[in-house]
Amino acid sequence: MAIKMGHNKVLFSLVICLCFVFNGYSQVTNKDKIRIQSAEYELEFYLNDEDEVNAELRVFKKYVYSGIGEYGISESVFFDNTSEVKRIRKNGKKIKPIISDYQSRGIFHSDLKICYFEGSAYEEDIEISYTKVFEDIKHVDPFYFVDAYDVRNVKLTVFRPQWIDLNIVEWNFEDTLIEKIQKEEKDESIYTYTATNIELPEIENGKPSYSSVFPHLLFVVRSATIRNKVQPYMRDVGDLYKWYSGLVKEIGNDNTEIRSIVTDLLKGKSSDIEKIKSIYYWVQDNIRYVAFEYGIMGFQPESCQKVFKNKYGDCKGMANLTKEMLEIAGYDARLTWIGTNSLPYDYSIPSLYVDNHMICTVMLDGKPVFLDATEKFADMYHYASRIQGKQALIEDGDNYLIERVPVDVKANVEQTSQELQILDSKLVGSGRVELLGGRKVRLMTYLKSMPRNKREDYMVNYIGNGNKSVGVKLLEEIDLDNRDQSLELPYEIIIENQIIDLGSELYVNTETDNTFEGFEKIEDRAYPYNLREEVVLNNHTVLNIPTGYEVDYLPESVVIDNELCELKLSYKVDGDKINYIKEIGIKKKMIPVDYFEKWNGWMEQLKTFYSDQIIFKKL
Amino acid sequence: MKRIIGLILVIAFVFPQFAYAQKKKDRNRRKIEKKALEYYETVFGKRNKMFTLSEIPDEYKDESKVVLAQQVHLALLRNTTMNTNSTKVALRKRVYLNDEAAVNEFSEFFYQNSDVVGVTIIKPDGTKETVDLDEAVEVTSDVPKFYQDRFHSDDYYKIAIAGLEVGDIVDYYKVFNESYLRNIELLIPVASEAPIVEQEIIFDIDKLWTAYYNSFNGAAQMKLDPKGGFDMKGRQRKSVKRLRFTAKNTAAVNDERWSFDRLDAPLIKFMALPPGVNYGGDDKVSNNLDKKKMFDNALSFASLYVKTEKRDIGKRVKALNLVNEDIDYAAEIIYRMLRVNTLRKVDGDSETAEDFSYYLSRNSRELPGEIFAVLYAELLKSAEISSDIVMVMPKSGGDLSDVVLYSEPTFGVYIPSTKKYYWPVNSFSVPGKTPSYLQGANGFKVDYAKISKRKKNYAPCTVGMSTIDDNIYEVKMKAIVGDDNTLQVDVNMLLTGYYRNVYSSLFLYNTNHLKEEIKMTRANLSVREIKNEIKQAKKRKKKKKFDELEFNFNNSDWMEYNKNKKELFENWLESEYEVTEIGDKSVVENGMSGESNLLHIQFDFTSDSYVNKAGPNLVFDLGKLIGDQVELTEDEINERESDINFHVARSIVNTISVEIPEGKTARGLDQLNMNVVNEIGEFVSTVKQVDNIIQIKTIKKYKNNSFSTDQWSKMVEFLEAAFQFTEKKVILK
Repeated sequence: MAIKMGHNKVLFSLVICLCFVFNGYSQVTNKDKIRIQSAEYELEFYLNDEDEVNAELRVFKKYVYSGIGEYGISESVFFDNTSEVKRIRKNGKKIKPIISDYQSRGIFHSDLKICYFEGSAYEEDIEISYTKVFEDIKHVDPFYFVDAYDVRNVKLTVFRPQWIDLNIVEWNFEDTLIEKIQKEEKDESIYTYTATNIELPEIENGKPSYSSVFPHLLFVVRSATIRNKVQPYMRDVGDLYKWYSGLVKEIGNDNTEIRSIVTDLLKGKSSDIEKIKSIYYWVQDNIRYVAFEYGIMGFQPESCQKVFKNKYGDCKGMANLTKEMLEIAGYDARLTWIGTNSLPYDYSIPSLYVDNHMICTVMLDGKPVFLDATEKFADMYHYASRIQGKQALIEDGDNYLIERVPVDVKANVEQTSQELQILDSKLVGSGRVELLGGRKVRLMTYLKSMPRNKREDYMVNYIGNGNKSVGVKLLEEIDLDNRDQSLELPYEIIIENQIIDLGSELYVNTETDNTFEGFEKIEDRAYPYNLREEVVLNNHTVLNIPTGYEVDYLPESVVIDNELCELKLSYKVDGDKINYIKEIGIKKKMIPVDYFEKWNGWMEQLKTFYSDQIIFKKL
Repeated sequence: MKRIIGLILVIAFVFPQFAYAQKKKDRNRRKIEKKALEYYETVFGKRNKMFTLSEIPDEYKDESKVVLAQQVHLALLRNTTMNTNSTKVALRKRVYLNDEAAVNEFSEFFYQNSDVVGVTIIKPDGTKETVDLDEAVEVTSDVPKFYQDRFHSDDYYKIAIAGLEVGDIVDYYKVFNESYLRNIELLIPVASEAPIVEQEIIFDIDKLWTAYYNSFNGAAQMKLDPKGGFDMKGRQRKSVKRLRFTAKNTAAVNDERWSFDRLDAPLIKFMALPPGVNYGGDDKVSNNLDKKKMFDNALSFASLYVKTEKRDIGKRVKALNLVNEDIDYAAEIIYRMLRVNTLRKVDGDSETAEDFSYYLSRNSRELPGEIFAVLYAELLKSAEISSDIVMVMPKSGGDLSDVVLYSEPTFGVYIPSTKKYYWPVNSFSVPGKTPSYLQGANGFKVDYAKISKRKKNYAPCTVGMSTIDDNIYEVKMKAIVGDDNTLQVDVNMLLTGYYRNVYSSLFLYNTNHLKEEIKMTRANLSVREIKNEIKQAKKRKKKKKFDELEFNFNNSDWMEYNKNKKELFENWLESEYEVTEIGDKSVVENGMSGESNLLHIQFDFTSDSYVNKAGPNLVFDLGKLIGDQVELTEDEINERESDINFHVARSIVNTISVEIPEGKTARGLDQLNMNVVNEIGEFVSTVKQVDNIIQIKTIKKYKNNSFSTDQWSKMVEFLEAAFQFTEKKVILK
């Protein structure tokens, strides 16, 4: 039997990372008792009846179950309107799969479907086979060696006819035992990849994206010679751009209805920056992000007039509307393709799997300014950490530009300053918290998404770090309207239970955030730890030395500075005050495996510092 | 204010029989839509005044969203041609979006498969835009709570609504049909998370149906409309009884801890019985359900089931020859047999590990109460033990007079000669002990010997309450501060009454207690073997010996179950204490038998979090050794609205000794000596150092099970004291 969809497919949005061999849909409770004894794949390229290059992946898997009792084994294959799944068999017999829509938080609607079938593993081994046909070779999925269960033997054979120029990109192959054999036959080259004992680790915290850690292959067909004629496909990024721009030409933008709003927005604005901001912020504020991934709309932006009318759109629709509005205002604005940092590739690989996001670039004084309207509350020059450092493929008529989004690790900052004194065995004072960059964007977005009457409580809790012993009173209203400035909030604070009064001595601890204190030791892990963001967290607290006391002891400073992080914590006496400085900077969000031991040691140092006490002695 | 139970309708025994695909706009579909729309206009009228309000009252101006109007019309119809008991529901809601959060919530609008659905957006200038639902997509997960409605189809759709802004009004309606095989029970909260300016709920009850209703906790009483309601074809008929509930300005409600929804939240209870069933006498529509008739009806239903159920177990009871045994002992054995029989049945049917786990982890009744009661009474009878069948309303539901729904009361058995109650068997229930949720419940009891008699005595009864001394959570802890500041902690937990019941499912993940029960009830033997064995035992006058168990507790299903339960225990331990490494855990007494029913658990762990360096000395998080305490938020402290209800009075005792390094002195112990005692409860702590041992004793008491709202501040006093205790640190010098 075959399950077939119409034409073309989807993969363009913020979230998606699926491939045909990866069973992300396991429903089995005792997964550790199930093993794939052998998984064999054959990928073959061929010409269909209409002289189009197609590919098919033939899959043969043998499952072994070592438990007692009946359990289901699930195998799921994703397909859409550019692919079909057929010849599905269990133990040699045809079976009828369950077909369901793929649903994911963050994607409103996708045409990706799951073909799902089960094996019952009671006292027998299960053999499952099926074939997935790719009717558009741009969409041949990456191949991952990991599976939903541990695999004893994996073998992939790629049959490349001589008339195809195929680039097989090997990714994350370093330090793996994957073997590759290439064999040349008369009409084809045969590549065989084999691997043994591939385990899928159960990573709960700090999960890196699969593509950034697991070995996999990308298949890029550069060209095909059909009836002595060379048919170019994806020879380089130029071909990729050509395909993208072809879709853009067919958007059918009609900006008639948008002109008046642009005119209104520009009223009273004189500088370029003011004008661009007014448009960029309007799109942020008025167009809701709703992700669609169906048909060609997975790659082609919705027209500007539709997004404007609907007041919602996905990243492509929002980028396209931003571009149109900026063009009406007289600016050189361009659509821009980009892969967020969950994708490890760049445009040296001309593949649809290299990018997953679209933004707008405005050329100002000959320099690109990247505008991502899906980032609510991002100010004009703030770039989300997920695109920082990534290559951006920018429209340039028939040509394209590739620029890198600037990296500014210090753009994501939270700093607190407070002055405290000791009163009735409590720390009492005032302070100010300031958030910039991504930290600000995230908090403002979250605050805006919650009912208005809950926002103050949330911020009080945020400043007090959820600690009941920390009482906070906000001194100003939360301003969610001005994204060009940092989010600043002054407050009064009363901290209980941080002073131990022994009469002749006072033990005092001004630390209440204990940043990273709950971070569990990283152990038994073969993959990097993803801290999610580069960030700077600073705290400067001034503590007045209580009258009648002198400083007897201050905790020993911690100074750690390396390419991964900066952790500087110190107490210093300055006249009748003690300055507590805490500077925590994460320079790289991914902790490499060989840093785990050091990282654990640094966390220990932080913990020791946090629990240590200032000791005041009575004069 | 108060907590609300569900979105709008919670229903039992629902069997939807047909539904229609939303997106197929074929002719038939259009016909259904047209008809449904006509019905909607008939029941609500084309111009409905309720739905003209466009402004929110000042008192709600800070709310995220406000329901300006809400109307529900539920018709209980008579469908003689299809021989089904069908209902038709029309519902309309008009919601004002007052901030971005509400706009976000409604921008992705969810709805269920219905005969017709319509959504209109009303802009602040009065412009109306109808949402085209042809673009809707089916959705099977992540349906927001606000949109969930368990009353009908599980098929949900969602549509992205274009151009929604703060100040817009979303006005939507739907009409749907459902059919039911049995009674319909509705628990309808009349307040929700958003304030409701005006609302109306109408029930139209066709003459073959019987309906019972009542309003509670300040909800207005429903009134009978003398004009009658609509019949199947939408014609107004006096023969169709119409009940109407209306309310204006219903404030939003919040969850509060320690409150019983049915005692606090304004709500309507409604039960409809299909033709042929009647509990309430001549009145077809009544707010006075006849509880005695309901009792009789429930028992006659249960008797049908019990006839087949008792076959096998009846033989086993007979084989055990319990007639001459002590009544308490015989009653206990039979009760335990009921539990093991359930397990045995599961095992015999080769069900999966999930079934075992499900059965064992459940702390609720396995058999419906009325079936348990009849079956148990019947088995007692075969052992010549007289009993009564009892029907009571659990305290959390109010009084027996508050019963409106069939599912509300609980059934049990009372043995007059021993004056003991026996309640539905669950995984950890103990024969002759009343679970806390039934303590203090009132109802009536009927002699089982006369149960089928037309004239019988429904004698009132009230189930006894336990005292604060019956419900104790006691921790005996010994801790040693090591040279490397690591704390080695040994804990003995002794739990009785309420706490035994609550913690059994967490701690009893091994199977020893079941093995004991299997032995006790000879469940591992066949009827013939039991008879032989008893014969032999009589001959030899020896203590009985039994074969090895046939139940396979070592298979992978059980191992998997135990593994999962062990993880739950470890999670609990880590939430209670600052644990670095978990040591051994053992069950000293399982609390399932014996006089005291004491659940005694031992475990140990190490921690490197309690003791840390503080300059030349050590700082010790001593207060945290008493475990996690209730942490009230500021809002909770200041804004209590409902009464405080627990099931029972109870106390928590910690006796802790900490050995600190020789020569060290604990400084700052005084701050840990607390004494907050009032009429509601108390938290009393004494902490002192004797030689190199720090001795801690804390007692927290909830002196009663129910308090009024104005006593809340007293409760806060001792709860806050206990929490503050956990925040205190001392210095070891």
